[in-house]
Parts: sequence; structure tokens; C-alpha cells
Amino acid sequence: MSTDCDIMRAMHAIEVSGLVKRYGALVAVDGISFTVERGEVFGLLGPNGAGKTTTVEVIEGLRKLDDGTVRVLDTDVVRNSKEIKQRIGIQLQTSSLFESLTAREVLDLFGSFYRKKLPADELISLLNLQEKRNSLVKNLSGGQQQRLSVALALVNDPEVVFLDEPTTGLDPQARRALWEVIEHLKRRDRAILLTTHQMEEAERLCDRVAIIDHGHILAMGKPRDLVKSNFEEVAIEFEADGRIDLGSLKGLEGVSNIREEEGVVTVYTKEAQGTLAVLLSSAAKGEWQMDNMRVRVATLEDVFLKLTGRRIRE
Amino acid sequence: MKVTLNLVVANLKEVFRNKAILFWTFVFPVIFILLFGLAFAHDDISKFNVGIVNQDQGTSGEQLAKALSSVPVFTVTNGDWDKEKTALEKGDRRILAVIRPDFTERLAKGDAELEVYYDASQPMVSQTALSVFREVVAKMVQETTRTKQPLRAVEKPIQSKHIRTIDFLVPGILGMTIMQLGLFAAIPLVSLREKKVLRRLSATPLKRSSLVVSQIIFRLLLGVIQTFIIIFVGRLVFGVQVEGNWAYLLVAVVVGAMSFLSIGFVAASFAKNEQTAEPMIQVVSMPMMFLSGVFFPIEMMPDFIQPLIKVLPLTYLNDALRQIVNQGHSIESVATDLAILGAWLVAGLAVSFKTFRWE
Repeated sequence: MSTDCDIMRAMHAIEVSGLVKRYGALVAVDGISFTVERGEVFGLLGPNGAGKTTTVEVIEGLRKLDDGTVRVLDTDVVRNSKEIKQRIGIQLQTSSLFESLTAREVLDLFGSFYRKKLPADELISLLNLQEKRNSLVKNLSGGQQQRLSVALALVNDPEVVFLDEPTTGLDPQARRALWEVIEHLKRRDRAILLTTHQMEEAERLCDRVAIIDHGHILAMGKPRDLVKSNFEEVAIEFEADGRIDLGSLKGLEGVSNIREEEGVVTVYTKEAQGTLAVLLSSAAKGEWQMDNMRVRVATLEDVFLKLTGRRIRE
Repeated sequence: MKVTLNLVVANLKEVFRNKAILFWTFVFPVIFILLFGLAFAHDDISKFNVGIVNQDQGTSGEQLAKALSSVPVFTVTNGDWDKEKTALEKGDRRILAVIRPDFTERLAKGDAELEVYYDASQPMVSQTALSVFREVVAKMVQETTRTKQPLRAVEKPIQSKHIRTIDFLVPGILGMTIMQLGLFAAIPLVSLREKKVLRRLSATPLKRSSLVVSQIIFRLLLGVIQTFIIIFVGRLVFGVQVEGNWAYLLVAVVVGAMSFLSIGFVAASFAKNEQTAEPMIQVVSMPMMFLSGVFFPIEMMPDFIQPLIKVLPLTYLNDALRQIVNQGHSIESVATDLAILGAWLVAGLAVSFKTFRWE
């Protein structure tokens, strides 16, 4: 008897439910649940030590979990990690692998670990490494090594791809090229779990994101929805000298929050017009000095800041 | 198995593309042999100790002894037969000339014999000394008699199985090289762990056993290549012969390499990172290098340190290699050595199996 429930479950590429992972007394992951679908890019955002790496490692079958269940491609990763490894691809941030092999040789070597493999040449051109195919890994630039590590993650044409800050160290052009690769994978119905520090990247690439801190998911959803649900406000940002009275600004109508960091003030307000008028007139009166003012809609970065009290890089 | 071989090939490619590794693996042991070989081959050649036993009652014996004493490269000692023969056997004399009681008489008849004993275990040195000796004798004969060839030297080798310094050193350096091959395998392993390559590999379907087996095969291949190079250089440059069977030699090398490799795995298990692995291995390898008879026989070591020497694995590898290379012994006579190395291998594997961290 096939129930609806089974069919639903079969549709998830990744299904994490009540995941708990402890290191001694420290609870690194404290009951996380989420799903990732085929053809979806899912982003895990969180500061260092938030538990995102541990979460990913448990899903990859590299770590044992203490509680909860993790299913990848409808298979229990704890019991069947061997089988799962054939069907997933993992990119790690720091993998200076086999430095005296050429890019091609490393791809061939890794390909030989799998039953199913993509031709090395195809991966080389997908990641735009044609000119470097016969260069030793140690002679590749940081960005080229990074692209090679992504190519290695795709060597078995995986159904689920884990990418750990894949665009770190890439120049803007290479970053956009890699985004296209990820979008290409998405169109081919692959599920992609991405961890990133770059909010712009998350907003651009991710269908959904989860913001993790202290082992909990603080918020989860489409980036735009997260911003909308957390912020009716716009952000007014400017540089101010010491004479500004932040306390009095708090009392203004529509102002929900004010942050100051290294002389840059961000005022979150629902009444952009009114707040701006007050700010501009008091600055115009010479009560304090205002520079480089801009008004922007709130971003994922603001959501992160609001929820965790920290910037993601801190 | 295919995957294991791919990994072995990948490791070999890395070695042969890396000049620093190539140097330390293959060139360094050769330099070691050349340096030691030249140092020990050289010191004997400029000066020869010559013993003379003059039993002659006539004057010709006296004359010959004087002529020999005047040769600059000869340091002549006169003595009786027993004393001089003992000195030759101990290596204190290169050649020993015995002038018979009837020497003057027979020389006058044109039929004299001079017995010349020499150290056959040092062919290079002895032959040089003998050629000088012959020259002196021929000159003396020409001056004192008109007769052609009234005297001939009868050369009699003794001490047929004396081991030269270089014969002793080559298997010792081979043992040291194999030890280092195994122990220093820890460093790339620790580095693979530190750079998260091991973690990356464990995210693939690659079996850990394939990885371990590939490391062992790869190191053993290096060890075999090192053995061929060291033995070849020893033979070509210093005439060091492998008296025993090559197969036995390779068996000893493989067993030795595996036990040192297992000790290297233990080091890799305990070392936090490359920086701590390096001194850790030095601490293990240095004492063995000096205590286990690489450069001098273990018998020369003081008594109080003998118990330590008797547990070090290199002691047994060196003993096995010397028995096979120098004495031509077969595998049965090194069975104890191999058994003790095997015990180290099992112990090392057991400990590293329990303690090795993959990340």
C-alpha cells in the first residue's frame, strides 16, 4: 500500500528531521529540521561555529548523529552511507589535493572511485579550466583550485551537491561563471546545498535559505520572503560625526531600530519620507555632519543582523 | 584493486615530479655511501704497515729488510712469526714478508723464496702494497746479483672472510634508508589529514582499506627501488658484493619497510600536525641510527645500553641485511630477525588501527 506520505518523502532530495549532534557537553546542532528538493538551491547561512558545517557533515555521512533522522535521496545516511556516497558530490573549501598531479589526473583519479562518472574533459570545460588541464594542482591559482574542487564535486554526476563557500577567492567574473554552473545544475534537477558567507550570493542563487545560529534554525524561507517578514522598513545609511543624538532619533515615528558601526549609522524605518525629512533638516541646520547618505531596501544581511545580532563575517 | 593501483600510481607520479622528495629518497642515501666509502677507503692507501720476520742467518736477509724499511710508504715492523701473523690477522699489517733461514744460501744459488702474506679481505689496499713490494724486491735483486729472477715471491692470502668497512656500511645504510622510508611516511599522512584531503577522500566511496593498502604498496615500491640503487652503487663504486640471495635480501627489505611503516603510522596517529610529526620521528629515528649498528658494530656500544639496542627494530633489520649481503646467509638464519620485525609490524598496526584519526 503506497501512501501519499511515501510519495511525498520520495520527492525530497534531503530530509533532515530533529537532527541533534553533541560534542561532549557542547550541543553543536540542537534539533534542526529542513528539506531540500530536487532542482532547488538551498542555502545554509550562519556565523562560524553556528553548527552549519556539522549539519552538512552529518548529511554527507561524515559524522554520526546523536538524535533525529537524515535521509538523502530517500536513503538513511547512517545506515547506508556507502551507497549515498556514490550519488552525492562534495566540494570542500580547503582541499589542496595531490599537488603534484595535473588537474586532469586528479579528476580521473577521483572519477575512478565511482561507478558512474563524467568525462574529465566535460568537467574541465564546464569549470572553464581548459587551459589548465595539464597544469599541476600546485601551480593553479587559488581561484583555479577552487574551481577544480567544484569540478571534483561533480565528477560522479551527483544527484545532490554540497558546496562549501564555492566562490570564496574567485574574482567577480569567475564568481558569475560559477553561479551559472550552479544554475545549470539546478536546471538539470540536481539538489544543491550551499553554505555561504556572501549574502548577495545567497539572494541571487538560493531558492530558500535557513539562518542558523547556536545550533538552531532562526528563520527559513525564500530570501525575499525572509526580508519581507522581518522588515517592513527601509534602511537609511549615512556617516555621521559625533554630535548626532541617536537617542532622539529612536523616538521618531516609524523608526524601529538604529545601529551604529564605525561611524556608519543605519536607521530602519517604516516611514522613510518622514524620517528622511527629519534627518536632512537637522543635518542642514548644522546640528551634525551627514555624509554618503543612501536609502536602500533591507537585505538578507539585515535579516541576519536582526536575528543573530551579528554580521555574518564576525 | 584498480582503485588501489590508481592511488599507487598517483603517489608515484607525485614523487617523481617532486625534486626535493626525489633527492631525499634516492640521491641522499647514495651520497651517504659515497661519503663514507671514500672516507674509509682513503685512510689506508697512503701508508702501509709491513711486517718482516727475518729468520735468515746470512746477510742478504738483513739487506732486504733494510731496503724495505727505506721505502717511504712502508712502515716496517720487525718481529717473530707468531707476533707478526697475529698483527696481520688483526688488520695491523697489510703485508707480511717472511725471510727463511736459508735465504742467503739459496739466493746465492739463484733459487731463493720469499713468503709474502697479505690481507686478502682488503684487495685494493693489499694489491697496491704488493706492487710496491715487488718493485723493491726486483730492484734489490738487480743490484745485488746478476742473475735474473733468482727470487720469486709466493703470495699467500689468509683471512678470506674479513669484512671491509664499506662492506659493513652498505647494508647498514640500506637499513637506515628503509627505516627512514617507513617512519617519514608519517609526514605526508599527517599533511593529508591537515589539508583535509583524507576528509575529502572519505566523502567518496573510496574504501579506507584501499587507501592504506595503496600507501603500503607505494612505500614498498620506493623501498625496493632504493635497495637496487644502494646495492648497485655499493657494487659499482666499492665492489661490495651481495653474497646472499637477492630474493632473501628483498624479503628482508620488505619486512623491515613494513614494520617501520607501521611505526610511521603510529607517529601519524599521535602527531597533531606536520610540525610536531617531524621532531617526533627524529626522536625515534636518531637513536636507532646511532645505536642499531648502522655505522659501527653494536658490540662496540657500552654494556648498559645493550638492552635498549636489543629491542630496537633497526638492530634486527641491519643484522638480517648484513647476514644476507656480507655473509651470504640464507633466510633461515635471519628468521629471528624477521620475526622480531614482524612483531613490531603487528604491534604498530594494532596501535595505529586503534588510534589513527582521519580528520
